[in-house]
Amino acid sequence: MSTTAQHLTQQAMDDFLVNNRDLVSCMKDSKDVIFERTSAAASLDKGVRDDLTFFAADLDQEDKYARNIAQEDFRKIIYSAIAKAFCNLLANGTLRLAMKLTDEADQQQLELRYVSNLEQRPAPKPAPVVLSFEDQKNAYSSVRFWRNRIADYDFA
Amino acid sequence: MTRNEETGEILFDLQNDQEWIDALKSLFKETEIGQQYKSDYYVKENSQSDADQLLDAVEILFPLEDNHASLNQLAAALRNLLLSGAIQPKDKAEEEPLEAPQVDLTPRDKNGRALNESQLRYQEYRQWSEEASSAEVNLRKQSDPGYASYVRKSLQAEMSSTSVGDSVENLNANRQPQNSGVPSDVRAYATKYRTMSAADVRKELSPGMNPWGPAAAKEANRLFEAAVADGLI
Repeated sequence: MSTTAQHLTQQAMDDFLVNNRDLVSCMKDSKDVIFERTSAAASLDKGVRDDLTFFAADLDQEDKYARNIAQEDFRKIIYSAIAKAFCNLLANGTLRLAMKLTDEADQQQLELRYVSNLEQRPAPKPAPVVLSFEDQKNAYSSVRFWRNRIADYDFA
Repeated sequence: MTRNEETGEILFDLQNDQEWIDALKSLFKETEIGQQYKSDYYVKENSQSDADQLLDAVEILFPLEDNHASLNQLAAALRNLLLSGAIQPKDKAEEEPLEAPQVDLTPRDKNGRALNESQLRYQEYRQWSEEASSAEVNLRKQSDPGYASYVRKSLQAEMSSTSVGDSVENLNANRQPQNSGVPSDVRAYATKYRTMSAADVRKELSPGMNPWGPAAAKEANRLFEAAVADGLI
């Protein structure tokens, strides 16, 4: 692994510990143990290794914009891999909780499941349809038309 | 078995059954992680699946071109398997019931010190008084001596801290005499002056009437003027 890749991996792990500090503080294991175990679990994920091998080639390219994009993608993959490994370790009992999760920690765990694609984010609610003035006028005239038709209808 | 010419390590052919068995034997005998696996993780029923996992892990971690792996590579793969929980210990610790985190809700003052019983009671009196009507306050004053004491002390504090709302004001309240730099003889003269009659003062200050002579009258005049200048008289 190149120096840049190592740096980005460390950065992703730092981000993970900061973003999920409530969850990490509920764990029985120390940060070092969590780091060691999640790294081991992530390294055995073939999909992750393939992705990292693919992206690692572009981390030190000359073009600054392309290099930044490649590094950001690499960091996201690492973060996602750490999140997935963490969730799996928690599920198989390798990492253990020291206490019941607080609301914040629970939210962070759910967010990790979303990030690692272990769970799908709920679809956002559709935005309310805003009709233009013309559309509202047409809709109103249509309603009025049918109301008049019903009123005029001879039910007998 | 072959030997890596650069590192000198022995490479086991993982496709060869006999070499694979030899590699596992060496792993469990010669490496620390292998011995740890043997003592804490080895279960006979799972040995085949563990070996398969180890083989997969070696292939993932060290993509092998000719299916040869060294003992160190096998040890690293086994270490990752144990750390990641892919191979579970045979005596797994039982799950303990989790307790909700204890949140310290003890009321504290602005310096972070816990309030004592008296302070808590006072706080309750104050909060209750802010919401209660005057009729409720009067009723509680009769039934709760502690609350009656609180109301009385609050009134006293309020009266002493608030000035009377008319034009009369005690200008001498908290006024200290400005005699810090006054000589002791002038202060003594001022004290004596307050006890003397007007006739005695006139006699002492007059050079012709002072029984001790003009020099004593002159000294008395000096002390008198100094006392007036310092505001003592």
